[in-house]
Amino acid sequence: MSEERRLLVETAHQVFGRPGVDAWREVDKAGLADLGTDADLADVAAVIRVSAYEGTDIDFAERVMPELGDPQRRGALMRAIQIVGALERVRDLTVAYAAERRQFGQPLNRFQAVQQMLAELAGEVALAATAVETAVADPLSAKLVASAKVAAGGAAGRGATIAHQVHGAIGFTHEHQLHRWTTKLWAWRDEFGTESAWAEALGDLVARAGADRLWEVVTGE
Amino acid sequence: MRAFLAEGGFETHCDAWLSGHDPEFSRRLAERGWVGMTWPKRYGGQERSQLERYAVLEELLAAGAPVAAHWIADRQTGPLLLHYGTEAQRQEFLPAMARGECFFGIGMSEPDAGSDLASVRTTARRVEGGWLLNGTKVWTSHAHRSHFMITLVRTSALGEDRHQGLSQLVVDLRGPGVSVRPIELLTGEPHFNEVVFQDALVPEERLVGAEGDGWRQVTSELAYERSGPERFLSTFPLLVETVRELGPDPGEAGARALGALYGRLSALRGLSMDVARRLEAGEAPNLEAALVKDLGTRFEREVVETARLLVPPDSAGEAFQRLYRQAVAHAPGFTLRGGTNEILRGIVARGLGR
Repeated sequence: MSEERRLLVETAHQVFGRPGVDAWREVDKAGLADLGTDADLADVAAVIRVSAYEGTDIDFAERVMPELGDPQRRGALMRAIQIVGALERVRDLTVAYAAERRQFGQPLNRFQAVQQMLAELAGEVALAATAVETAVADPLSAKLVASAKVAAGGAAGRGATIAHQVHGAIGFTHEHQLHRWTTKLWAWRDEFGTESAWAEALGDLVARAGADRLWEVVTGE
Repeated sequence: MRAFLAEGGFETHCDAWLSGHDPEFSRRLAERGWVGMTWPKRYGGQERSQLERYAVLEELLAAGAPVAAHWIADRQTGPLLLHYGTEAQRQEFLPAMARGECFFGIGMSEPDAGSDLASVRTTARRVEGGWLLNGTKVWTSHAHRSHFMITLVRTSALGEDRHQGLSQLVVDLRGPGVSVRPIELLTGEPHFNEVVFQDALVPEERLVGAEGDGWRQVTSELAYERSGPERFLSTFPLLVETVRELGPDPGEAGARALGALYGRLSALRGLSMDVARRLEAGEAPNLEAALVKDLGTRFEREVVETARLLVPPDSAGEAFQRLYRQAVAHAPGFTLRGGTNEILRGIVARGLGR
């Protein structure tokens, strides 16, 4: 990450981390509100990701995400970015909870069965993050955006399931904060095309290219 | 590279990076400068970048080419010697490796030390002129047709910290006191070996790195061992034949399943390349490398399961059937080799909180 983007992300964490009475004014004051018009997409995506991580209730992503020609593709990429941000928070909450909650005389993260789940959660997040970053670098590629929504949508469902399983009953309550992110994950994975809709488009593309060109399609030639 | 591969001279196989042992192919590849390609020129390398090497590996794997003979030397023993070896060791082994004439096996696992590598019991005792080895290594791929084995041994007694007192030695597989017994895979292919040392004398100068530093050296190899494209492309040749069998109009269910695999593959490739970039930058992304191996090897198996449900194997073409049978019979190994996935997930989970 460039130094500039690191600063931008830091600012975003501060602004979205303490929602004011007038959240937009805070966002505006920090110079994040008009991000879409004068920044490259990777910067915009980094800030959208932070806004999802911090669980902001304002429709920040919708306001700053630039047009990409096709509204469905724009929406899918936007939701995929948000899913990654929310998943990173869900992962952090779950890792922290598994370290502090004790049962049978030891923290949950000492149980191998729980370790397996934590690793799977981390893997899904890493995979979705990579797919999204690749798509953000080339957002006009239908193939890359489709791959990002497929990866993010799958990771959203699996990630939320693991997070709730590890959190136990408390995570299933309204008073616990986990639902602020998991309910969004459930909504975002369905919006602008589910995994299966985007997978079908990808599969058609692969089939039309044919067996002998499969590798070229994978490497993006 | 693609022109070279199109010339052929080999039959496409699933899992060819570990089971396609063809010294002649390795030599032809080496002639073109594609073995040890990142190493310094004075050791027979080409001084190319890790990412250039990555691209070459991917092409070989996608084509299902028989690269197993030189794979270990190229992937980890060469880099290990470059990092920790003496000048004499580099001179002796690297140019021969880069010519595709010197093949290495990995002597890590033992009958009582599988995933629990630190419990190895093979001992090396310092004697006049070298080290005297006693013990047994097992599951060593291709030891019966390799020249040397990089071997993890205990050079001082087991103490409080199991990770202390381990060292790495280069052992001549045809040397005195070394016996190699092949163990067939369930398919009947000779692949694994049991390597027994009975007072095997290994010359002093075959110690790699510092005595007692073996654990740190071995774990530094593992990020290379776990994160490469061979961890998600072992069944790619079957995916190609699946696309061929389905044709240009795979139907709704076919397209969804293909697209799901494609999306997963594309993301895995991104993650693996990211680890390669970080390794090149001198970082130690051990956690990410373990994730690549866990996710990638499960994907390799998912390809097999999807393929058989989309294309009824009984009615498929000859190439599909052949690759499908190879993939099914080799799949149990995908999630075992290089550290079982369950152990890797434990490493990931413990690393997460830090």
